[in-house]
Amino acid sequence: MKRAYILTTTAVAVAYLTLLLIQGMSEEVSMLRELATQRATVTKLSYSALALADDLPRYLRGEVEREVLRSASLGILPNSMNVGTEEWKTASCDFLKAQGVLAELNIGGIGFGRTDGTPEGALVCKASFGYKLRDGVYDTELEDQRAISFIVPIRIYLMSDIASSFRSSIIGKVWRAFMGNIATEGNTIRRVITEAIREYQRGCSARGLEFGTSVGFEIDRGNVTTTVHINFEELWVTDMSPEAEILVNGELTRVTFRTERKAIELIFRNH
Amino acid sequence: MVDSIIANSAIWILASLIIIAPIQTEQVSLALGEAHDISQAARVLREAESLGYIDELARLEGDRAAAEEVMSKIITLVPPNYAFSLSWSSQDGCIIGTLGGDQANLSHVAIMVSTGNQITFLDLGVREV
Repeated sequence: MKRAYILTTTAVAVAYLTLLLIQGMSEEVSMLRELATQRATVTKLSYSALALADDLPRYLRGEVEREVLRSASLGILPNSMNVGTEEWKTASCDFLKAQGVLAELNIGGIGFGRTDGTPEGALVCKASFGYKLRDGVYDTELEDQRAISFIVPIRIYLMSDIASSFRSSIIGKVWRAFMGNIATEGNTIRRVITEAIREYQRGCSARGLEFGTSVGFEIDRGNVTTTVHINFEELWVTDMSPEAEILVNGELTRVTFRTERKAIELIFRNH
Repeated sequence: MVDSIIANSAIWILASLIIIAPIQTEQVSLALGEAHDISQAARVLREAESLGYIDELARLEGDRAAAEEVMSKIITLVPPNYAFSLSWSSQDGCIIGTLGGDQANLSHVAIMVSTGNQITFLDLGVREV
């Protein structure tokens, strides 16, 4: 009887101890496994954040290039309000959700400016990018705010400067010619205009730009006044530098700043 | 009799441990291995980004042959003792380019690559062999 009792008690104790050992081991192992999975989760969150911050400038650059191309064709400066980010935000959130990551993305303060250095008169795009990524299983969160800044090497501001300075330069030259001598001949004005165009073409060529335009004029000599009608035909400036080529629908394209034709009149009082 | 009970108990406990331990350790090493593979894949893609390969790839969306050359350059960053697969696909799931073999049992890391025309995805799977 005593022997049976000892045997049973020992068997129960051994079974209990074995169970405790196995349970302890399982808990330890589960903890280790969870730690490994959490490590993978943290890696996933951090590389997702870095990958998003790397891809946003790529996406924005494409959008900004399209806006530069559009505005240049209209002869105006690009407007950052026309740069959309909704498509990218939606795609990013869907992409992360498919990987079990919930994302709140905030892209704000998109602004354009002019480069301080080289390329001269090119565009700088700045934006802020805030993100909050949360793992759907472990609720691990990663939150940060980053400033994004990149250069689009199309010299859009320089091209705009050249277009507007050319027209004011012609007006100034014609103005000075007639103020100096009201009887200035048409040939003289023609020469002044031809020289101004050549001067701009040379200047642009030296900077890797192509410049083209034509200017017509008429002189009406009345008894009291002399009127000069100046017809500025379409003017175009193209950035020829290799960095300024952009990809549009799979084709490399150059940006041409194009201003429309414009007519002005200068009226001088005869002495 | 006491000796035989102690010996018997020890055998039971040892037997249980011998049976359970390898299963548990294998599970942990699998999870750790996967975490390690994911960090390796993430490291390769980070390095490819810092070397400008991802930007280069984004510009070559329409040129499949040139894109595969850049993808090969990315693959050179994968350690030699790793099995890999690299796949570049569009948002609607069309494969633009792919390199590497069997994707089974690989740990995958995917990133977005905006090309200017569309948003695409680059998926790198690796596994230490």
